[in-house]
Amino acid sequence: MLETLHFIIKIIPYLAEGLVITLQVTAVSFAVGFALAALLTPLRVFAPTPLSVLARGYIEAFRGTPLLVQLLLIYFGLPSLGIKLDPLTAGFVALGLNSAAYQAEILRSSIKAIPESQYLSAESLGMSTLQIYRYVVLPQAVRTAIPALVNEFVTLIKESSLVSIIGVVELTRRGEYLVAYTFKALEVYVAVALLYFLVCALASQTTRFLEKRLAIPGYTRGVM
Amino acid sequence: MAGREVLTVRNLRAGYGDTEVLKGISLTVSEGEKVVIMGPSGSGKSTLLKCIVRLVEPWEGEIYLDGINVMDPKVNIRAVRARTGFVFQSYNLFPHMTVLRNITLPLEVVKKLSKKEAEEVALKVLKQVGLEDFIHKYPLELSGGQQQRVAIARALAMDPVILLLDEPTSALDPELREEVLETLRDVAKQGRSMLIVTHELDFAEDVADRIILMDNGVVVEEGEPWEILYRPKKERTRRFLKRIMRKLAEAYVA
Amino acid sequence: MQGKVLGYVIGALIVGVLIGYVAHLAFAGEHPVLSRCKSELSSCQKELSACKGELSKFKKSYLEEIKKRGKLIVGTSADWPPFEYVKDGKIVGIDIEIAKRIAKALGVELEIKDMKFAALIPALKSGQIDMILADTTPTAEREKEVDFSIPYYTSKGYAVLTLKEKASELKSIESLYGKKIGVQLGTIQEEWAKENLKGKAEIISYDRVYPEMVMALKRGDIDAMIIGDIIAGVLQKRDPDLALAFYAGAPTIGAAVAVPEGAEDLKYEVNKVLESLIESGEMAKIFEEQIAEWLGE
Repeated sequence: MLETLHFIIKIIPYLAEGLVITLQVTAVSFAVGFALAALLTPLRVFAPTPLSVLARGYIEAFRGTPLLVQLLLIYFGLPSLGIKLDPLTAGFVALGLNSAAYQAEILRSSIKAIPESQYLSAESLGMSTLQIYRYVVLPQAVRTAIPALVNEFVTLIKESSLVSIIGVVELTRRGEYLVAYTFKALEVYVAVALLYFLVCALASQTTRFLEKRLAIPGYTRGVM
Repeated sequence: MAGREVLTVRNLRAGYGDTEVLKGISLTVSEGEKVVIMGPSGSGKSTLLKCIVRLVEPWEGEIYLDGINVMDPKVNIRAVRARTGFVFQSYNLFPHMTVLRNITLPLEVVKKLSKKEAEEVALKVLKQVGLEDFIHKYPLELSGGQQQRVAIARALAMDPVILLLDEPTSALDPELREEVLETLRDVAKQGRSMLIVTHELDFAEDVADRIILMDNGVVVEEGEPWEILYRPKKERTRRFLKRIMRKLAEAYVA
Repeated sequence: MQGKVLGYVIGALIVGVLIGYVAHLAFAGEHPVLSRCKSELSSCQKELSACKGELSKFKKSYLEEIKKRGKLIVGTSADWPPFEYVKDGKIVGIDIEIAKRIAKALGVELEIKDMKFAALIPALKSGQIDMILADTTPTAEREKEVDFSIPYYTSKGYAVLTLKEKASELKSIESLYGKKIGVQLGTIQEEWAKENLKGKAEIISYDRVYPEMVMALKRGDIDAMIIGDIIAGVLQKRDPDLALAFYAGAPTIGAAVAVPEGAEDLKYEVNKVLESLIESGEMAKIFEEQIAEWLGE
């Protein structure tokens, strides 16, 4: 019993180095996803039909196919078209594009939650659609979207484990290495799972923190 | 009251889906004139105001605002809207911005004022409505009456050619209505043209130069306040007023 | 909020360790009587049949289980020609031929289970497979986890395979410094690389060699790979783009069949088959034929 505990404690530093890569992949992918979603959502919600349909197509495509398949396609398939990406970059791209689709849906439903009266009010002042989106709609939608966005971040932490398949040496892959060297599969994977659990739990806690910081004073009812 | 017309509406027809709400309505507002519109719910009063700046798209008719043909497909409707001050029933302030920012934002992005200029104007109008101490508060920290006064200030800040007010006190508790009506009386004294939809009979009597009674998408009767309120000519007007009086009486008794 | 998170973390650690402990007991536990018998057995192989009856109450007979099942399950990693590879959807190779003969000697059918090399020993330990035939070199580390038969060939051990155009610059261990070197996860070549190139070259571990790591070499993801000498030889013969740069490290004793720890009866039978193949010259013939098969395609 003591040896098992000792073993797990001994391997934590080695695994933690992989955890750093995991968090790097997650953070970059989330940021890419958010930036892309901020562009996609207005296209989907406000833009004229051809653009709106295109945005919708993108979102449905990436939500309707497995992330793993998207990753393999980008890493193994794109070189045939002349686009060769190293494993880490391919990971950023695949996870980022995928996350963008989910984040776009989250933002879209947050935007839909904004009452018509806000649009009327802004329009009556003579604001353009772009201005309304930028100053009135998006700031409010992002606040409403926080719980769902944090949830997406936590999901990304777990999904980042997939890049181990194309050779990125993050937490999961380090676990695989350790099993190959020590043959202690159970102990190693329990430790790996523990580390994932830790960061996921910490990340979920930020919801409350973020909500407090971005709360609209006086808004006690509803989502905040 | 003679003077140039700031608002001319002729034979306006509009509706939602297949339902026709405005059935060929016409009215005018002259410079400096205060016109009050009254009528039962569903008569199209709200729709009328929204059509003037095409927040609701009219089916047909003519609308001229300060000489500009609002119905012209090539008109810059946003510029037209920037020249009118709209006050909604539910104040419709932006909850995620301070009171000050609620007013400076449209000034900066629509009227293209500099930050400093915008703040000066904002402070001026907030002083007019007596809320200059609240500049850093957020809308939801304010009472309904205060929020509506901010909305009025925001409309005034745009230096509009006409103020359009859609039942500004209907959503407020009775106690809070008086502060808003007081503010509006002050605004009326400044000489701006106003088109107000309201049920407040006393206020209408105080402020209006003319009262228009609407029902079912058309104008039923039109005249000076004492005519409409005390000597209505049409049966429909009488019926409407009786209903309003009864509601008022009930409120007092309760 | 801080206190709650800390409570969370400690709770999770405790739960995790508890799971690990319980599982450790369940999977790694050995009966105390068995470890005593083990030392007796290793010096009494001829008396195996006499002991069997007495000990069957305590000891698990791997051989009997296989015979009762009527099937021998052999684990391999079919990415290492000419020992094991996939051809027309079937797994073939030198190790498969040896496995066939062992199954025949035991009078049972043969089933081949394919998995990545690093997963083989865990699979043997957990009972998913009966033995490993995957060009596996006995090492001290591995001996701690499993038992090995006698070796069935000797080898030069470590070969550096690269692209033809790079072969001229890679002539020694030092030439590998600063380069990206590919190895297979869990192999002795990976161990060698970690010992001799750690910090001096970038070592990338792949799960599969053929075709995965070879494709990576051709794509330029790695500059060279360190694999076995026989596989390197046949790969370069069949593919003109590849070249064997040089041999590294010392020769090894070659490969052996891995059986579960303590499976003396099974090991005995396997050794019998291997010995007869080697002495009759059939082992050499298998090697020849299978290499030709691979190259002939």
